[in-house]
This record gives sequence, C-alpha cells and structure tokens, in this order.
Amino acid sequence: MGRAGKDPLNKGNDSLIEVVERRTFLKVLGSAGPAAAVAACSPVPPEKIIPMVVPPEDVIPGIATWYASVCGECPSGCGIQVRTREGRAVKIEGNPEHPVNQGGLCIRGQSSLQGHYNPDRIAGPQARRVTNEAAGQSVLEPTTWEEGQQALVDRLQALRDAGQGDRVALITPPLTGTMASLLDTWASVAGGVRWVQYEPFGYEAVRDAHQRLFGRAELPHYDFSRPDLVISFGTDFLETFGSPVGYAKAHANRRRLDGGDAARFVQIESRFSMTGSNADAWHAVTPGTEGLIAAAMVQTILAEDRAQGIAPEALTQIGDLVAETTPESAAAASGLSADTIRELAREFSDSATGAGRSLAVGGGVGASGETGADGQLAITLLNYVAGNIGETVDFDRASTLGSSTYADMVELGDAMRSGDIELAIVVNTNPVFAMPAAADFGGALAAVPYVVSLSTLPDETSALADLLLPTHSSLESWGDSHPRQGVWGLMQPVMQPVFDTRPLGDLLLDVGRALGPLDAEDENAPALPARGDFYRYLRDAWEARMPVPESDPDDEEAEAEAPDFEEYWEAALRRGGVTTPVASNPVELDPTLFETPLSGLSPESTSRALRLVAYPSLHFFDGRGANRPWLQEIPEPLLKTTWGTGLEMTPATAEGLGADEGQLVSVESDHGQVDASVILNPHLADGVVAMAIGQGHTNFGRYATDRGVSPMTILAAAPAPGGGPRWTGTGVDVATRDVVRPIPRLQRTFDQEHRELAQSASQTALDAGEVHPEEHHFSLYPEHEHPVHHWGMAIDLDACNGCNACVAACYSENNIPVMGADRMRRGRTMSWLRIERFEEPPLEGSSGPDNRFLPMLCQQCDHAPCETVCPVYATYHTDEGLNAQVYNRCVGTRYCANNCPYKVRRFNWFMPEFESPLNLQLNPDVTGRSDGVMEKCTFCVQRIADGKEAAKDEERPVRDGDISPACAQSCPAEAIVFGDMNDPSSRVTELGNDNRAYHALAEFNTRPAVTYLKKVTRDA
Amino acid sequence: MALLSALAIWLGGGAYVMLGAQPEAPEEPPSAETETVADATEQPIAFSHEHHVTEIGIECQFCHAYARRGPVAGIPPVQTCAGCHEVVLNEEPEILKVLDYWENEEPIPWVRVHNLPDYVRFSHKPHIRAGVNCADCHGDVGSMEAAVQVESLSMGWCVTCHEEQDANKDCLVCHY
Repeated sequence: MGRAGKDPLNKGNDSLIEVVERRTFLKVLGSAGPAAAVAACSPVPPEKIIPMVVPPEDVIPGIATWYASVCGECPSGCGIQVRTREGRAVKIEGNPEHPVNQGGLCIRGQSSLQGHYNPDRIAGPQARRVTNEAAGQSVLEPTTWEEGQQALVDRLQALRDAGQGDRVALITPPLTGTMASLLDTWASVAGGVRWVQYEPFGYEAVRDAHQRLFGRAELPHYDFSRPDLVISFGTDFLETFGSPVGYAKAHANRRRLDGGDAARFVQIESRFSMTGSNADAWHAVTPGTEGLIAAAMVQTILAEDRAQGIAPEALTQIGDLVAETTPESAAAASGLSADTIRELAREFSDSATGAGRSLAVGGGVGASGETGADGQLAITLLNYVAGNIGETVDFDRASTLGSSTYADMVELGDAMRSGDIELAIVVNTNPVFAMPAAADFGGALAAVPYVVSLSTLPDETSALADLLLPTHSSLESWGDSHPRQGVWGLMQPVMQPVFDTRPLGDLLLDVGRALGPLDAEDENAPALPARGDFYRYLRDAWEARMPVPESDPDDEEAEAEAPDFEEYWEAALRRGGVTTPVASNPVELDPTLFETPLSGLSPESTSRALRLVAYPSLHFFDGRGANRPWLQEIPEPLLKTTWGTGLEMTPATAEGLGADEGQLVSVESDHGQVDASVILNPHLADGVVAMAIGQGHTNFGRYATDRGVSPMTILAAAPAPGGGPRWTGTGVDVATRDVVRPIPRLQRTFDQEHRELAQSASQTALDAGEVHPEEHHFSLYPEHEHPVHHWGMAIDLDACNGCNACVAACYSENNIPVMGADRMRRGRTMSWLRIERFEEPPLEGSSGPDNRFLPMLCQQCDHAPCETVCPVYATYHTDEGLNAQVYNRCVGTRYCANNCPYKVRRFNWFMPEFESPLNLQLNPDVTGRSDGVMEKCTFCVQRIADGKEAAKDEERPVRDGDISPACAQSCPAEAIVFGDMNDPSSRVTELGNDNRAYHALAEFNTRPAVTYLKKVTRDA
Repeated sequence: MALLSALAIWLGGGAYVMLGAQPEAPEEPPSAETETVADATEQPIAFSHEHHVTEIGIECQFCHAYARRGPVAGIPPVQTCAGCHEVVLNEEPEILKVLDYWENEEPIPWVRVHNLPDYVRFSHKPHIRAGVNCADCHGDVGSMEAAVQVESLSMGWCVTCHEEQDANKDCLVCHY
C-alpha cells in the first residue's frame, strides 16, 4: 500500500477525482501486494474512505461517464468518445456516429491519453531569467499566470502602439472552425499579426496542383467507398494522409467480398509502406517518378480514346500537355514497364463500368519533392480524364484546412533572421524539429528578441522560448473542428486540468482584451467580444450558425416555434457534433493551365550514390507522437522495430556498403550529415534508402529525446515547387562506421516456414467454390459445455491492414505496462495482442511480397494446452468459453506460457511501473498485475461483464453487438468481430461458417474461439 | 481445497502471499451478530447508525444511494448530512464538526470498515437486484453505534452464499 500513500490525485477540494473510489483506484496500483492480500482476514492498516462534499449529478462512483469530443491529434478531426471514471479520462474510442471515422480510431488517437497525462508536460507558466549575461546563460523559472500574461500583453501593446503589429509572428498548427476565426480576429486586433499555420504534412503539392487545375487550392474528399480500382501514387492513405481512419473504413468496406466485386488496389511507390502492403499489386519505382507514370497513363487513355465525358477541346489541350510523356519514356525513368503502365491505364478508364469508377490518390509525403506539384497535377488529370472528378474525387466535401505552406515558414524564418520580427508566439507546433535542419528555424527564432510558447508539451521549439504559457490538452478544452465541408465536430473538456495550464482560447481572449480595441472610433474594426470566455465565444459562434428552419407561410404555428439553441447545443454535445448540408460547387478546368507545359515531372539527377525517401510515421506522425510510451513500444507495422528508427536499406545495398543490420552508418547529403543504425528492408526501389520521420528528437521529454534518427537533419531547406518540403529524392552517400547499435525488432523473420499461420485464398478459387471451411478433427478430450454464451471472435485477414490501432486500444484498456528499449531488445514485450506479419513470394503482376497481417491474441481454446498444465488452477475454462486467468491465484510457474503454441501469454518479470501522472490513465475495471504473475487477453472480460450487466438492467438477453472488446471497437477496418457463437444469427457465427474460415495451428486441435478469415488474393 | 492450500504452503511464503485470497477460514462462522471480526474503529465523527436507522427510521439506501446503481454503495456526501443538520440539532458538538466540514467544503475522512482485496471486483448492484439485504453482509448496522465488520468477507464466505443461492461461482465473476 506504500505506493498508494503517495496519492497523486490528492490535490485539493476542486478535484473531483480525489473524493471517490479510492479503493478502486488502489486496485490498480497495489494489487496483490502483501497488505492487500491479507486484507480479507485480518485487521488492515486503517484506510480512509472519502465522500464527496457535493455529488456531481452525472457521476455514479464505479460507473463510467462518457463524453463525445473530437480527437486533437491530427487535422482529420475524428470524433471520439472519452470514457471517464471518477473524473479522469481512462480510454478513448472512436465515435460511431461521427461521419469522419464512424467508430474507428487510429493508434495516435488512442495514445492522445499519454499526451494528456504526459509526465513531461509543462506544469505551469515559466519565464526565462538571465543568470549570466556575459556567458549568455539563462534558466526558465516558474512564474504566475498574471505576470506571464502581462509580459505578453506589454510586448504586444508596445508593438501595436508603435504600428508594428506586423512584426509579431504567430505560428499555429492548421486550425479550423471557431478557433481559426478567433485567431483571425485576434491577429487583426493585435495589429495585423503575421499568422502562419504550419504542419510538415501540409498537402502543398495537392493544393498547388488543384489551384492550377481548377482555381481551388483544396484537398478534396476521396471517396474510397465507390471505386472499382484504386491506384495510390506513393500516398499512405491508411497511415497519415488526409483522413486515414475514414479512408481505411471506406476502403475496407469496398474491398469486402460480400459487397459484390471488391475493389482492386494498386500502389506505386519507392518504399513498401503499410498502405502499399495491402495492395493487390505493388510496384517499386524510382522516387519522384510517380507523376510521370500518371501522365503516361493519361497519355495512353487519350491515345486510345478512352476518356469519359470530356469536352473535345479540353481533350486536345490535355493531350498536348502530356504528349511527351509516353509509357516508354515513363518506363525508362521509373522502372515500371510500359506494358504495365498501359494496362493500368486501360483498367483505370474501363468504360464497361462507366465513368467515375476509379480513383487515383497522390500528394502524400511519399511522393513529394521536386516533382511533387506537377506530379500531383498529372494524377488529378488522370482522375479527370477517367471522369472521377465530382465522383470519387469530391471537391464539394473538400478539407477546410488553412492555406499556409512550408515556403511561408521559410520566408518567416528569413524575416526573423533579418530582424523583421520582434515577437514570435508559437502555439502547439514544433517547427524547430519539424522543418529541415538546413532551414535553421532554431537559429531564426534565436534572432527574435522575445519568443512566447503557448504549447502543451515541452519540445525543441519551446526550449527556445522566453516565456512559456502552457495550454490545455484537447481533453481539457472546449473547441470545435470543421475538418471538411458538411462536418462540424464539437470538442468538450472531459476532466479537470491535470496541470496548471489554461485553455488557449481563454488565454487569447484575455490577452486580446487587455490590449484594448484596435480602433475605438471605428465600429467596423475587428474586435473581440467584450466579455465571456472561449466557451461563450464557441457557443455564440454555434448559435450564429444554427440552421433556422424555413418558415412555412401556410402554417402559423410552425413560425411561432423558434429553434431552441439550448436543445440544439445539447444534442450536438451529446452526439459529438452536427452535419450540415453540402452545397454543390463543381470544379472546372482553368484554361490558363495549358499556357505552361508540364515540365517538372522528371526527378533531379544527383551525383550521390543513393536517394533518400523520408516517410511519415504511422506512430509518430511528424514527430509529435514520439514522447508517448505506447507509440514507442508497439512495433512498427512492417519492420517491427520499436523504440527507435534508423536507415532502411536493402540487403543488396547493405552488402555493397559492407554493412549489416544494426550497423551504424554515416548518411551524408548536400545539406547535412547524420549517423543512423541500419535496418534491413528488402522492399525498396533500386538505389533507395529510407528513413521514418518523427524520431531523433533532441529535446522532447524522457521517452523521445536522443532516440532514433531524424531525416530532417539531411533534407534540403529550399521548398519544392508548390511550397512543400522535399521529403523524397534527396541524394545521399552512406559510409559504414565501426559501431553496431541495433534497433530492437520484435519479429526477425517474416517467413512462415510453411506453417500456414496466415492463410490466403484466391478470388478465382473462391468464386469457383473451391475453398471450404476446415473440418473439425476428432478429439480425445471431452467437449466443454457452453450452456448460455460461447464467446468467439472472427478476424478477417483480408480487411486487417496492420495499423496497430487494436494493439494500442488493448494497452489502454488492459493496463498493459510498457517495457522500454532494453527489455524490448530482449523480447520482453507485455502486449496481449500483437500483429504478426508474414510474407509470401510476390503474386503475378506485383513486385511486392504477398503480405499478410495476422493479429495474434489468446485464442481462448476449448482444448487449451495452457489449462491442463497449471498446477494451481489459475487458468481454466469458463462456461462461456473463455480461457480465464485468475491473477491472484497465479504463482508464476510459467508452465502455461511454455505450453501455449500461440505464444500469447505474458509473464511479469518486473513490477510494472506507470510514471505519474500516466498512472491516472489506468483502467480501474482491470486489476493491475504484479511481478511473478502471468497475464493475457480474456476478450476484455470486464467489458463482457459490463455488457451482460447492461442487458440485465433492461431485462433482456445480451444482443449481438452489445459487447465489443477494445480491439474490435477500435478497428478502423472492422476486421475484428466479436460475439456469441451460441447465437446462430450473430455475425461471428456467420463469419465462422464462411468458406474462408480457418483456425491458426488447427493441426494441434486446440479448438480456438478465434476464427481467422483467409486473406483474398485478387488477380489482375 | 485442502490440497491447494497444502500445495500453496509447499510452494513457500511468496506463493502464500499470492494465494492470500483463501487463507484458513475462521473455524466456525460468528455465532452471534454481536460477534465481530474487528473492533470498532474510531471515526472522525461519532456517527450513530442506531440513532439514524432504528430511532428515526432512515433507509440504508437513503444515504448509501449508489448501492442499487453501481459497484459501490457510496458514503453520503457531506451535503446529505448538512441537508438535515443545518436545521436539525445544529448545536450538538458532534454535529458542529459536520457543519465545519460543510462550511469548509471539505470531505469527512471516514475510516473504512468494510474492505475487500484489490483483486476482487465486487459490485453492490447485482446483489441488491437479487434481493440480498444489506444486513446479510454488513450485519445489523442499524442497531450499532459505530459500524463494525461482522462477517469475514473471505472468499469462502462469499462462495458459501453463492452456493446456497445458486449464484454464479465462476472465478471470473469476481477476479479479472
């Protein structure tokens, strides 16, 4: 109980969390400790039981309270539901009613809890004090909010009064909705502040191409629910591009067999990405030639007269634009054969299925660089000639993200260096890390006399600040999100602030008001509201936007009924937002487009030996996720690396360099040099090395600092055409160093050794009825009885895209401890659910491996090998078909884990540690496990108990869909289905009888309750 | 069970701690309601259950209001105490202590009487739903001055009742 004595929750009256359920909280922290173990039978040290002073209305101790909100991790604006217990957020799930993600949530969204409870968060306002002026030494020291805010106000006031408001720079991430409009007004009130919205993945090439094509610098909504063929040009639309959870859901549904002919998916890129690993055909090409291939496809479509619904004049002009890019020339530059290009073009413009039945996606980080903008133009033209614009490429539902670019940031950096900026305000963005080091934004900031950080987390940028005014996390703030036309999400605080922080909106309103009106004489001058906090501002904005029903002149009663804003607001809060009608606004080709030729399709030549592809990380995004233990610990989907990144190269390249896995190499470009560990990855285009974006932090908290390597260190500073960074194509030379520093990898071989763990079936064989579900074998063991329920799971390997969302959900739901790099190097992962990856030889028409993901968790075997060897009956079979694990019975013989053929049991060699305040995230519904105890998946038995309890409350049986384990709930592709196999109409029963159904290691006759559905291989 | 206990002892002290859920049960159940497993603990306020329940007739769940709705019965918020005592007996020395807590907006630090090990997931709600009386587990608190633990609350004691009532005896009902 000693650890519980240091109760971090105990911090005064205003905290709801301290007053209730201390005991349940202790369950998490002190389980199976000696004092706890004897509590039932002997006098215990007195324990306090603390009542509430005034009970909150919506809280029943021990029962979760849910809040609908918006995920703040990336601009896609997924809807979330946050489960809170006794006033603290413990789990985040996707909101099934939200149109963007429809219930799924990615690994980064799951991990936002670890950003919120991050032990390195800035705990309160701090100001810099110079300690030794001569030596340039200074320290950040705590200050008060009054003093800190006043310091900011004074400087803004002085600059505005001097008419130098434009010498203030404001840097924010891309913002939408009410916060964007507040900042817009605020920037004006403060005297015309220079506001740049920066995110490294800013879709500059897409916006630039669409500006030139249609006069609209927008990221359209890609509708993956309709096309028969998807061709992705280096775009990781299942990982970071656009709205990955929404895309994954639509894409998976379109590829399900029961929807008729499933869509085919082709990926063309230079590094085998997680997205590409799901393609039916994968083609390796020289980096930067993706657009050239698209242009050659356009040329083929026009040459073969396959364009659909295009005016003849436009056809001629487009034809002129791509006249030079024949399949042969594209083939020579890219390495993809001219025949393949022609075949893809024919398939893409298949008139048999009608116009608008295909989709080409481009503009991801994987295809940026010198050719990014013109390449994207060719890709959109490809969609245009196939009739996809307005069909699968939807500009009516375009993203509303801000329009700043990387080039704007470079320009701002120049202005800083030349002394044009007196004050810089940085809000929750980290340009010092997330811009190429050659652009030296850190040096630019150092030239600014006063830098203010309004960030949540300390990072490389806030380390340079003179004043830190830390802001609330997205789980503590009011706000909204307008990720695309027609969707408005509402963000609400789900708990009291963890640290001494303030909401960004309140801070801005206070500072703006303290400045006084810009021009008291002018009524039309931009002004902030005279009173009220950001919550009021948000409500007013929503009230102003509330749709007013059209009055019916014939019906006087209806007219009298004014819409009630309270009702509207309450409903929006409960649902997590509103959807609004979308105006139809078709795009048209801008004729001036044809005045300049498409000249930027060929990549620059380089004198260096290799080309670098810097790719966005599924886990870390642009680097913002690197300080979260779950994201570091969970193995990367393709290489299964953890706690680090390195330089990926093919075994052939490594051999040529004399390097091997884990060897340290020096990577040098024209713009910098960095050391990196070699990670062997056979699936790269010739002459390509790759590096993930997001690691290599120098100052980002205890989990991220000095870990892995950042490609930013060697990228060019100059913006690419279109204004984006040059992520791909940088020429590098690699030299081997005499040091070995391997990155921990959780899976060393991707060969199944013919064990047929992850199976597949061809679509042809399925269509011909040649695939049959496996037969049950005879068993000597008596059969188990499952009189009421028999819980089971079906996992569709064809839908699983390997995104790790389920793994993070499992960590979050089940209090799974994180081991750290050293223990992971020894393979001591504690994950209850892992995604295994296997490779089979390439299929015909593809140059990538036949890749298979296999989510592996406790199979809840009916004839479980683990149960028979437990000497203390700690693991046994329940009446409901679960393979139970009773932690307080377990004595840690580990016989069970040794006897488990699936290797899904985890032994606690160490007492788990959750650094405060990360411990506040722990789920009080799941017992914490101490050292010496075996643990494993039980299909989230606590959620099964909750589901049965809810059904009992309503005096009805449990219905299919009532209960969903954390993994199934989070899956964006709905690959995991859970249910009662005793119910003949349940989905899990239906899938269990599918022709594709099989069981892992069925030859052992363990009778698993987890049924896998074979991956489908689709022929060209 | 005897075999398991023997095995546990054989496995040594560490194992015994882990198996603390089934220590040697009391040889015989308490024969009378007045027999308790622990002495009355001193509480910050000399609250009398007997006065409130037997003399005035307040129902258990008036104050322990969450019992039928969730896992914990709940200790009444200070607001509930103050709700009556701002008006009733508001000059008694013990009541003045309560009103001090109320005015200072501080919770009353009661000492816990009934406690279960942290690896037990007990919920009041299904027991109330099944018609178990509060006194079945807590003893006749209504006739006690200070509440005292009467039953052992050991696993054997729980299982005995589950057996008698034909309730679920699966380990996973309470341990997960």
